[in-house]
Amino acid sequence: MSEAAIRFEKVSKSFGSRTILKELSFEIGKGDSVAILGRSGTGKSVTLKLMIGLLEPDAGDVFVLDRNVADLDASGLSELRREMGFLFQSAALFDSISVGENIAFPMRRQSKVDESEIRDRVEELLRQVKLDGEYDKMPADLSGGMKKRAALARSLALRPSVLLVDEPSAGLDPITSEEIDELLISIGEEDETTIVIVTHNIPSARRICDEMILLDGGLIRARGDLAALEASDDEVVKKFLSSQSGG
Amino acid sequence: MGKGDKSGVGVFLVGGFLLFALGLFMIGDRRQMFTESIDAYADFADLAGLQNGATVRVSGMDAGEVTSIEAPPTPEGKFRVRFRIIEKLQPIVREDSVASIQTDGIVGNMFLQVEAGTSGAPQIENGRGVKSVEPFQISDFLDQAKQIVETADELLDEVKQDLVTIVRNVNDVAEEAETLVAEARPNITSMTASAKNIADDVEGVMNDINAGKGTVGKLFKDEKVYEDLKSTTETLKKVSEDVSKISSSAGEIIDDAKQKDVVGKVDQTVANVRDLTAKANDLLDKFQKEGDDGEPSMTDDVRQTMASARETMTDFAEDAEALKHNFLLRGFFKKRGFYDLNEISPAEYKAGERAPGYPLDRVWLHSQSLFDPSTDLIKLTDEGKRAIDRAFGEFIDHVKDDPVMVEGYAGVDNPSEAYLLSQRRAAAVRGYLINKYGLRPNYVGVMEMGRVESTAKDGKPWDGVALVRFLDKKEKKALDKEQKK
Amino acid sequence: MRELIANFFDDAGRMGLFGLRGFRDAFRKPFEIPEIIVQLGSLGVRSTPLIALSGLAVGVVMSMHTRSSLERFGAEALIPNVLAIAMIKETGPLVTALLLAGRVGAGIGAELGGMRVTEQIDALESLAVDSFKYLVSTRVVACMIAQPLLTTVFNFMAISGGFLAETMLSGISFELYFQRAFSSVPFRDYIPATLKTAVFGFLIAAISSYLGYNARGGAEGVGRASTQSVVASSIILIIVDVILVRIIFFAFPEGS
Ligand SMILES: Nc1ncnc2c1ncn2[C@@H]1O[C@H](COP(=O)(O)OP(=O)(O)OP(=O)(O)O)[C@@H](O)[C@H]1O
Ligand SMILES: [Mg+2]
Repeated sequence: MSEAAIRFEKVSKSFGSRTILKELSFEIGKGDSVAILGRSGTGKSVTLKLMIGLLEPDAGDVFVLDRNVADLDASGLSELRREMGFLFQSAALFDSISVGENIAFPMRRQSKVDESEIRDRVEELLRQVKLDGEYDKMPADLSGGMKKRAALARSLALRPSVLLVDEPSAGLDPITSEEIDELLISIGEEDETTIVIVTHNIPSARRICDEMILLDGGLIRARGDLAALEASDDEVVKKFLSSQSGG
Repeated sequence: MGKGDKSGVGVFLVGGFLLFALGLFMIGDRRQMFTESIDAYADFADLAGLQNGATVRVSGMDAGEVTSIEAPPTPEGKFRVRFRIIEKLQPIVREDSVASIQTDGIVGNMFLQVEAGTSGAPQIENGRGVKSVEPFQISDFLDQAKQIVETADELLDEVKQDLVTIVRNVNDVAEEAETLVAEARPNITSMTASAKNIADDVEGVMNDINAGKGTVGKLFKDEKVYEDLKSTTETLKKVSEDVSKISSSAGEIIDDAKQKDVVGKVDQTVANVRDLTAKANDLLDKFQKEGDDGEPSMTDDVRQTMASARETMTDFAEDAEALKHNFLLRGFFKKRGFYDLNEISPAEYKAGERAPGYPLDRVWLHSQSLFDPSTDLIKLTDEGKRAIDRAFGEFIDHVKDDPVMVEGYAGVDNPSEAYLLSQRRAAAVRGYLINKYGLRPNYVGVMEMGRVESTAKDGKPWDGVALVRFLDKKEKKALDKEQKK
Repeated sequence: MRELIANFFDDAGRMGLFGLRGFRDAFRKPFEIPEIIVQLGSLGVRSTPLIALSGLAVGVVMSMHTRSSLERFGAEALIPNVLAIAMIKETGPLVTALLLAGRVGAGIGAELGGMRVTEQIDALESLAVDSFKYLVSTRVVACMIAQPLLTTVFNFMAISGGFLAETMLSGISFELYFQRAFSSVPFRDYIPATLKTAVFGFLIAAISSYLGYNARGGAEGVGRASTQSVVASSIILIIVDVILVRIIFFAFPEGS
């Protein structure tokens, strides 16, 4: 068994009286690419935020790169986060600065990074997410898909060893979607990056990921590669895959 | 973030700060903080609300500010007010400069006023003190003024005693000399000797006197009398200095009730001094001969002493005069309708321009009955005194309120002689009146009318003295009104 | 009612602590200097025209009012003094602060509220940025720096406005006017009154950052944060000013 990059141990999370996650436990190995599937509102985004410490579990522990996220102090958490990339479902670009500056932002936060180096890296990332020449656009002037890609570029800027992406291809046409998938695949392969993708796009998940986790009602309904899931006779799994694979 | 933004922030920060600093500078400049300045101090028992940071003015010019106020260590001690004044003004601030606490306009800010000093005193040095006048306190001032006037009066009384003695003595001597001359006269005439003999005789007598022969001579040579006179003169000088101090700080008086008292006393003092001076002058007129050995004779000594006394008294009179004309006190004198009866010149008096008011009664006293005809000296005869008493009887009910003028007339041809004679006659009568009836000297004036032609049948000019009672201006107005009705 | 008061103090306490933490964090590494400069630009530089114009207008109006009341006593000569002391001691600091509570308070409330509901604050956190320090501390510091400077601008513009009005009415010279204006302002009025506005800046930034940073509920929540920022900071400003005036009075007594 490969060493775990992310490990959930009986993680529970609720908002008010609503319980979202119920003693959820799983492991994601280093360098693995895993897709988290599930119906809207099951808590996929919450799970991702728990991984990067934006949310804290009510009970149980979240380990990322062998560190218990809840136990980390501010500087420890910062250190951990510098090794991670996070793509928000809402993109969450800083709307007071340009697209290029958004992407450059994580690099600028690192001390002693050469300006030209930053410039080159931003250009490269813009090319990778198919946003060449959009450096000076303001986020408000972008379409939803473009924002998503710019935000992806920003999360990739520091070459994270753990990449968490929340619906990267939502709102993208099939061709661009495929190109983004290619990018994620290449990142996963080249840099031994651990990738966790929340997606509703089964073909995309299939292309990128080795494994899938299906969340339902705060628990893992099913886990395994696509073949294993397709072989499952669970009603929910069947329904999920059948409705999605056609789309 | 663009470059424009950054430089905008730079301009904002630097500009804002400079503006703030400009404010600091302007405030500091107004308080003379950036001008070279020196520190000085003044002590006050009462601060009258003076605060740290209050403006300091030197002769009215903004010159700095109060830098600290130290509380006194004991109840008797004074607050030490330290202040700064710009160096430019250092030359006019002397060690005898006087600091006082004053109020500024309607805002009522207290400020420290420092008067320029006198050029005789040394310049103020850094860290040294100047004199101070306590903030105006009516009662304090009046007490002080009263006290000074009282001591002045006392001193004058003493001086008067001495002077009166001297005058009497000198008068005796003069009379004696006169008698001698008179006795010698028939001899001289009969012998039809040369004028030199007369002169020799007179001179001999005078020499005897000067040599200290006889009781008269001794008196003249009496060092003690002389010293007394001298020392009283010194005292007078001091008094006048004191008075001049009061009059300079008199600008602070406002009180009404007590004022009259002070003024009255000053007046009286002044009049007393005048009297004395006049008498002394009279005396000196008779002893103006110089000793022939060149040494200053007794008369010279007396003259000199009297001259300095007169000088002193003139100073004193001037100071008192200044006090009277001081704008705060002026009212009291104005109300009276005249400043001083003795100020009125005969010309003005005759023209009726500056008469003290409305003449009520005029009583004639002829010179033959008044004065001893056997001597040139103006000496009231007993008959004359009775005549005066009789004449004055008509006035006696009013003398407390109304000024009385003693008009002197002389029937001689020479105008200057007429002037002098009329003045002496009037002065003699006035002196008699004041002494006998205890009149207020400033309410009894002397008016030398000189030679005045009369309308009488015999065509002779007026010769004698007239007593005139006047209403003062206010009363005159009231009377005018009544008469109109 | 009692609950309302209790709530008020509860909120005020939270905001105060929030702001103090923001102020304290500004002095911890890494210093967010570039961001402070950005904030000085948007809070300070961009408020300057508003403050300058308002100052000018207030100066003109005040000097005219002052004139009409001083005229009765024949004390027109005191107009520069009265205007300057009124401006520098109280009117300038308070009016500037209220204007900025409107402009900057609303801005901060809306901006941080927007960042909160669009997850930009979370995004900052995910990028290993201390969002509190990055957003709140910088604004607190920028406001504390900008406030005294803007107050100074206001004061000078108001005094200049007074000059314009005065010179038209009485033809007073520039030099005499400014000499008079500054002659009755002591340092103990000028410096504390100007520097106390740093506290106003602190309050505006702390209150509006607090409301924005903790905004909830989408666009509506952002709007609420923005409005509340203005209302809360204006009220608290005035209350605190009363206290500050007393404190300054004790710290720099008239006679010291
Ligand atoms: N900060 C929060 N406060 C309160 N409730 C929350 C919060 N974040 C998420 N939730 C609730 O948790 C549940 C899970 O939300 P989450 O965003 O994880 O869903 P999701 O699985 O990502 O759905 P989708 O596929 O639509 O994005 C939702 O019902 C949401 O209302
Ligand atoms: Mg989601």
